[in-house]
Amino acid sequence: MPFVMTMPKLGMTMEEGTIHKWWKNVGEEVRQGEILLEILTDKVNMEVEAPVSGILKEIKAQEGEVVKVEEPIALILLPDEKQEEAFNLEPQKAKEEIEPQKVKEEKVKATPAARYIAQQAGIDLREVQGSGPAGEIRKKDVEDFISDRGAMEVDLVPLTGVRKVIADKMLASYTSIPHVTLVTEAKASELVNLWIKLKPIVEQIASTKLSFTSLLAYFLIKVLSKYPYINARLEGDSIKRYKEVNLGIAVDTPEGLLVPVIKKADRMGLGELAKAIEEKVYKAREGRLIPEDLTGGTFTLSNLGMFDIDFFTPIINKPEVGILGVGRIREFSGQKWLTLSLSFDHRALDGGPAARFLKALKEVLEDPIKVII
Amino acid sequence: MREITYKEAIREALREELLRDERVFLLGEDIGVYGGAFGVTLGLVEEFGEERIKDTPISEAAIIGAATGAALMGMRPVAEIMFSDFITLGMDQLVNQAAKIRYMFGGKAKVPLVVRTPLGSGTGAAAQHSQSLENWFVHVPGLKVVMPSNAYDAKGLLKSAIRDDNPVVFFEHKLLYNTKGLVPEEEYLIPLGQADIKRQGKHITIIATGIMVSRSLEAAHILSKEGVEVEVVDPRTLVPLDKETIINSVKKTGRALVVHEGCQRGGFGGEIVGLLCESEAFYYLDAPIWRVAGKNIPIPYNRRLESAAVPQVQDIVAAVRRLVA
Repeated sequence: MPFVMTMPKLGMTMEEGTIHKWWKNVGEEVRQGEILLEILTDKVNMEVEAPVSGILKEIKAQEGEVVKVEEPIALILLPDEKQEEAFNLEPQKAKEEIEPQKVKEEKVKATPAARYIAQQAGIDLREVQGSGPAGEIRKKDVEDFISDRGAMEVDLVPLTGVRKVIADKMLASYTSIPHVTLVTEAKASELVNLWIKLKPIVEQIASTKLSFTSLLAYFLIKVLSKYPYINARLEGDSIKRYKEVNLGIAVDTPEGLLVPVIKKADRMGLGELAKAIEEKVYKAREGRLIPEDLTGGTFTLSNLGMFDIDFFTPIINKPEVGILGVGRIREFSGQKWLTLSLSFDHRALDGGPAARFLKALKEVLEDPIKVII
Repeated sequence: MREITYKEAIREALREELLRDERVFLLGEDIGVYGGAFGVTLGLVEEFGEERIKDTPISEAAIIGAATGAALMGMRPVAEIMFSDFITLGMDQLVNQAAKIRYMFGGKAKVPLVVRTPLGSGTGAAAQHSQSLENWFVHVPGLKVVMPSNAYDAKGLLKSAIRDDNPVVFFEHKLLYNTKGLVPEEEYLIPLGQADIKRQGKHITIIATGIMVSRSLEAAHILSKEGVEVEVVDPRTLVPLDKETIINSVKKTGRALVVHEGCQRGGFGGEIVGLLCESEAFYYLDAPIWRVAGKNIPIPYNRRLESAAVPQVQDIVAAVRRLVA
C-alpha cells in the first residue's frame, strides 16, 4: 500500500490548510526531508517536507484546495512497492475511471490564426472571449482584446495566497459582524513626553527600540485587562472573555496585512513587550511567521498615525470583538492630540460598555501616571 | 481579342501542335470522320489524313497501350478516351506501364503521351458516363494531371502537355466544351504547375477545379454584393501542383474552401486541406477549412438528383457565408 500523506497540523489551532504549491509532480521521486509542498494557513506559507522517500504516486489535493487536518493530500509509493505497482497498472487505471472527474481546466477553442497572434502578443487565450459560430476565439477577438488592453493597462493580480486569505477574512468579518465605531480624541502631550523620556532608557535596559505603537500597546493592555468584556472572542454561541491579554498588532508587510499576536502580553513589562513587538513585526515583514504567531488574539491594535491618518474605522479581526485604530498626533489649542477609534462587535457588547472602555483608555493615555493606580 | 469555345481552343491546340511537330498524332474512337463524340477533332482528318488522325477499335487498353508504345518509340501521341469513365479499361497500360517506364529504366526511356478525356456530370448520361475520377491519377506517381477550366487555359495547357516528355492525363469538362472565352490568335503556352488566381479577394480563398471554377466565380459575384470578397484560385494542373500560390492566398485571406465535382471521400479536396494544414498557412487560418464536393454516390440519371449530387452555385455561396460569419 502506498504511504498516505495527510494535511499536517502545523499549529495548535490549525483546523485546515490550503495547498499553496506542489514542488513535485506526480511520478517524480521524493526523498524524506525534501520539501514537497507549501501549505497556507492563516496567511502563513509553510514548507512541508516529504515524510518518507518514494515516488509521488498521486496528488489528492490540488493547488488552491482547502483540506482539513489529517485528511489525505497525496499518495507516496514506497521503494519496495515500485515493482509491484508496475504489474497492477490495469486495475489501477480502471479505478481512476470510476472516480468522479475533478474539474479540469477546459481547453480553449481558438483558430490557429487567433492562437498565433495571441502567442506573439503574449496573451492568455483563457482571458479572451470568443465570437465564432462555435464559440471559438478568432483573430478579430484577439485583436480586439489587444486594443482594449492598450486602452486601459491592467495589471492582473490573481486573488491567491495571502491576498486570498485576507480577502476571505475581511469579507467574512465585514459582512457577518455588526460593526460600530466610536471615535474620541485624547490629549497626548504627556504621553509623547513620556515616550521621549523612556526611549533611551528602554534602549539601554532592554536593548530594544521603543516604538510609539509599543508604548500605546503597553497602556492599552493595562486597560484591557480591566475590561474583559471587550478583551474577548465571540465563537459560536458563546462570548469568551479573557483576563489574559493576547494582543494582535496590525503590520503592513510586502505580502499584505498580517496581525501577529503577542501572547500573555499582560504579564510583560514595557521592555519585554517592546522587544516582543519588535521581533514579531520584523518576522512579519520577512515572511517568517508561523501559524501560531497569528492565532489566539483577544484584541487588536492598528496604528496608522505614521501615515498621517487622522482617524479611520478599523475592521474587527474575527472572532475578536474589538479593535483599536490609532491616528496621528496633531497639535492645536496648545496641546498634542491623538485620535482613537474603537470598532466593536455589537453582538458581543453594547455602546455603553464600549464607550466606558474607550473613556478609560483615553484617561490613561492623557495622564499615563494613572496606570500605576 | 476574339472569343472561341473551349472545344475550339482544344482543337486549335491540337492543330497547331500537329503542324509544328510531325511526331504528334491523334488516336481514339471515332475521332476521324465523325470528329469525336463531342466534336473536338472535327475537320482534322481532312487536313492531316488518316495516318495522323487514327480511328481505333473500341478498346481503351489498345488505345493507351499503342500510344504508350508509340511514345516510347519517339512519337508524341495524343489519345482520346471518349468518356473518362472508360479509362478504367486502359488503367493497366496507363498506371502500370506509362507511369512507371521512365522511372524503371532510370530515365533512359520517356513517355511523351497525352490522354485527353472528358469528365463530369450534367448531361444526363448517368452513373457510367458522368464521373470525375481525376484524383485516381493524382494518386499515381509518374502521371501529370491537367484540368483546365476555360478556353484560354485549355489551349495553353494542352500545348504544354503535348510538349511534355511525361504521360499527362488531360481532363476536359463536357459542360465546358461549348462555353466561350477570350483566346488570343497568336501562339502562347501555359506551363504545367502554375495556378491562376481567377478573382482577387481578401475574405476567403476558394480553391476550385474544372467546372467548379466558373461556379465559384458566380458564387463570388453573388457574395461580393454582401461585402464578402472571395479569392478564387484555380490550380489548373493538379500534378504538378502550384502549392505556393494556394498557400499564399490562404495566408492572405485566413480562410479556405475547396470545391470540386469529384466525390468528397478520397477526393482532391483532402489533398488541399492536408497541404494547407502542413504549411505556414495553418497559422493564418481563422476558420476551419471546408470542402464542397460531390456526394459519395454514383451520379443519378434523374436530372434533379444529378444536379443535387454535385456542388452548385448556391452550395458554394452557403458554405462561404457560414465560414465568414
